[in-house]
Amino acid sequence: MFGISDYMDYEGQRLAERIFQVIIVLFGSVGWLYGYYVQDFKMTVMALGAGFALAFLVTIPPWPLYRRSPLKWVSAAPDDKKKRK
Amino acid sequence: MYSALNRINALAAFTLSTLTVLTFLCYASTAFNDSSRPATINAATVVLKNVPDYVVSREKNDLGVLRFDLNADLTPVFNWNVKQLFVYLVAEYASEKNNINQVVLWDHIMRHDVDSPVLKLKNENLKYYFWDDGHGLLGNKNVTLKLEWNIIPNAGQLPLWSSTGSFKLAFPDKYSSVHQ
Repeated sequence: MFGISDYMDYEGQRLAERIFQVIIVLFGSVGWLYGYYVQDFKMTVMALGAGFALAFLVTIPPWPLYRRSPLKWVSAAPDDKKKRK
Repeated sequence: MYSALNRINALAAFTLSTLTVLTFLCYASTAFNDSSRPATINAATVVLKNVPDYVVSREKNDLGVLRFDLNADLTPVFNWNVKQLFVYLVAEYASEKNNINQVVLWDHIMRHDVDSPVLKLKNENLKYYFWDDGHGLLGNKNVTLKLEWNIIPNAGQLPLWSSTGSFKLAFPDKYSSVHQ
């Protein structure tokens, strides 16, 4: 995207998903409790929005954290012209 | 999750689903609240006329004219799930033609954190004409003035609540002269 690679390996994708789920649920729960305390639902929505912003920064860009388990490709086989018919 | 756009989509969808759950919980936290409040209503300078209602037909219908006082504190009705209240004063009575008549005489939109939650009216004029569809007000000693409000929530149903106080209005047995 935008000419920069946004690649994450599979373990990285799994980790990114888990991280944003935790961030959103956390901000949502605390935001809901705070909103209930001050009796203002706008606060809850804003808390969730803040959680979205944080999760965006942490899990969308392909940080090195998400590239720690690259796939182990088998090394290339030698080009054997004799076997082709 | 293989591209940034993919991840943004997943994150946005998850956030909106979470918002749905939080909104439902907001509704659940207020769904069983008791939103009834006392109100003191008083009416004076009651006059009864019998004049043609030109909007409907050329027949002469009863028209009630009065001024009222209203005192009610609706502060406890507001909570984080209440967007605004639609408050109105209604006159309820029985007549020969109808078992129940309900005529709205005055209404007001009370927004959360914008309008004052306290109603304090003195000698207020009616906002709407008090028409009857016949002669139901002549000599009617049992007209009840009640304050009611419709709660418009952020999420959930729109319940209708009534005040615990009301006022019993009596109309004279004779019409007053038209030129007042």
